[in-house]
Amino acid sequence: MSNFELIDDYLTNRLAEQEKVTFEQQLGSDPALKADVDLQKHILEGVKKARVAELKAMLNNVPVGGGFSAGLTAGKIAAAVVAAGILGTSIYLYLRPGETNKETPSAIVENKVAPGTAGKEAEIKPSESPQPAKEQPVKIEPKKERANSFRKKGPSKAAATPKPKIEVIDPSDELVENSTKEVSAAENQKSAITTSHIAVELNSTNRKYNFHYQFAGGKLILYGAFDKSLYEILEIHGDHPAVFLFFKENYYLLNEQQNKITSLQPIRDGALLRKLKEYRGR
Amino acid sequence: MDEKEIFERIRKGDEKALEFIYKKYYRMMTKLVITNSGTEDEARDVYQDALVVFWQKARSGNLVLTSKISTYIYSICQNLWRKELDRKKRLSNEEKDSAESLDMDSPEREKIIAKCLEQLGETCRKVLMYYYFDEMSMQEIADKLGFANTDTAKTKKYKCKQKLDELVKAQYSEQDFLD
Repeated sequence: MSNFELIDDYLTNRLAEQEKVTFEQQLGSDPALKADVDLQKHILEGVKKARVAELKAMLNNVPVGGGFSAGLTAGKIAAAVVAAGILGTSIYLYLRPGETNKETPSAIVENKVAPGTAGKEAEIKPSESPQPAKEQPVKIEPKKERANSFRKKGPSKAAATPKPKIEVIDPSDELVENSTKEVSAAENQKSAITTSHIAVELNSTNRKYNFHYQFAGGKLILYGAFDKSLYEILEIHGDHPAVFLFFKENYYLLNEQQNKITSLQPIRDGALLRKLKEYRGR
Repeated sequence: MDEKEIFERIRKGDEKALEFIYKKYYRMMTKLVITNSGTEDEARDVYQDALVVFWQKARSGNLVLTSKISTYIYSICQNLWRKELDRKKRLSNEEKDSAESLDMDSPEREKIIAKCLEQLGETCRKVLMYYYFDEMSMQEIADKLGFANTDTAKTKKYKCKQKLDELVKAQYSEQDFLD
């Protein structure tokens, strides 16, 4: 076996135990070999880092429908139903200010997740002690600096400083599709709340349409940099259904009949905004 | 796709399955960071790092899942974010200089190697990444890249690695690299 192959096999843990011991003995007495191994080690690390960067770049291109926000849990559903009535009236007045109608929408549904994502929000379990992050706010570093130094730090002095505690969400609970909790919630509010079926597609490459939307092919298409930040789709059901987009602190009305590419206009109506904000905050 | 199928596909190096998981659990995983003093960018970064760890472990063949995939990834996210909070805390305790000076050359070295990898071309780059990071066998590499057989894959890997070594050495002397 040539030195090239030997070093390669050594660094990739492909040597048999005895070969490894012999090679390490040789390494101890041959500085040139040691230097070669060190160089190869750096090169392999570089190859691995490049692959990590490639995988992360690949993931960055995956459109993620929706993102973080407080959502509906079984416990919040009742409150949501109450809010739906109030909100529905506002929406109705917003959409048809010239008409009067005493009926209220029967339900409101939030759709903040990508198609295929389990819809139920996990409850946040309170930690035993208050979050250190709140007690001792940590300094947020710019991402670039963090990326360079993330997880390759020197000797840990963690023993001297208490470990930060983080709030834990039970993921298995959230992801159990058709779980008992979900079923019972659905049973309780079956007539009021249904799962949204709006599929969302993102298009961030179109130069002409950079903050637009359309409903086409049975799905909502959002044009613009929606993959760079998180957005939410708020869907109102009932006699006067409506769909809203929440993005970067603004709400936008989405007309489900709109099959042409249309620019997104933020809602300015104060009363409706308050209601939407109130509901979304629940 | 059920859990078993997803895991099996990831174990075999199917990047589409990784994308599927990424999308499926995005909200839940990023929430962990965002609700614990993190920004959206940090949340995304941590989640992606966790998925890369999961990918590599699954690919190694040594990972036996005893929990749901989401639970496993979630625990990685937790650990990564805890370490990051730890690091930030240390930096805020005026240890920034010492932390940075420990590995000053590393990013530079990574840039050099990334540049050399670019020069190698797509096929060579993939062969080397699949072999060294994904730990694919020659058969898997041959299958994935459409080589005639494992001998072709082996020869390709050998030549690509030698070429990479040459490129790296040509740009920097050994002394520069190791100091």
